[in-house]
Amino acid sequence: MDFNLTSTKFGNRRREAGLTLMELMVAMTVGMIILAIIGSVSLWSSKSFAAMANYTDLDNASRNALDRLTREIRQVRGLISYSETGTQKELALLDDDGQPIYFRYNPGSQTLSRTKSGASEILLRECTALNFSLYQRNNVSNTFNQYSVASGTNAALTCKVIQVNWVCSRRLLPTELINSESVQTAKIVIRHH
Amino acid sequence: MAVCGIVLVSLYAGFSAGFKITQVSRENLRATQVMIERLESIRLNTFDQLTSPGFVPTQAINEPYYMMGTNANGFYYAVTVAISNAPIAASYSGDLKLVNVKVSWTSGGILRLREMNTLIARNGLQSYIY
Repeated sequence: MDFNLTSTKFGNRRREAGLTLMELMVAMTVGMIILAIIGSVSLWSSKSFAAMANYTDLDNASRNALDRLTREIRQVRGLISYSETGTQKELALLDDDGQPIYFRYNPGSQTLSRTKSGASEILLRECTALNFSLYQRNNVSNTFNQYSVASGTNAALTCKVIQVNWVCSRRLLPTELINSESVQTAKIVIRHH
Repeated sequence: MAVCGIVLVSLYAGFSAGFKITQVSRENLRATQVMIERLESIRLNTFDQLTSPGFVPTQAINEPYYMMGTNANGFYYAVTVAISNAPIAASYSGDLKLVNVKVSWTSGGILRLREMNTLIARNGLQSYIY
């Protein structure tokens, strides 16, 4: 009698055979290439997504700060003083209610803050550069520029226009170069007589 | 493989469209600022200065996209201001002027144009400025 427990057909034997070394190496190489592509695409897409989110976030913050600053400067009675201590800049204005209002730029903390009646709040963060420029009310003929204010105490008397411009920047990773930035500029006329 | 290709192309197209929209939005914001800045300057003129030929420049003046630092990665907006009679038939129309500010620039191979209009009154200006 002949008892066969397993089939020994040629086709089945081939299916049960393992991979050759060459096949294994080719499969691993292809797999690694696919993994590398997937990895780089996901890294690139996350970075792009973060950069886009940064741009819109910085623009949004800058726009809010500019709206706030424009509203405040337009309604003040005039300039009290402008000072630069080191790299810090301070704009002191006399608000419509007779109280002084201060706008301070601190490059160390990269913030623009507003202080009135002892209460301080931050209008802008991640601000890497900020400039205030002061001008008089008289326009220079054939231009859209105004004469700069005289230095010293006359500045407070003659200032009618305040120009502000700033740059906000954000890094995606601490080691990366700056790759998201928002630039704002505005020339604001003090509405008070 | 085809699915991977479609996914990659769609992802790339999506991000590049997103970047383009964000960039145009930033350019629009800066263009709005340039126009507002022009109008703010014009509000400082007296009515006589406004109507005096040559006092307010009407030729195109370039304004940089980046105000601070270099404009190496930026471009320039061409800004023109036109002052004309107010388009109304009322008796006081002689005391009004229509100011039009146009800003144009090219981005992504497309010429973009934005404009703002405002009316300026003779008496309104005088009491406001002085």
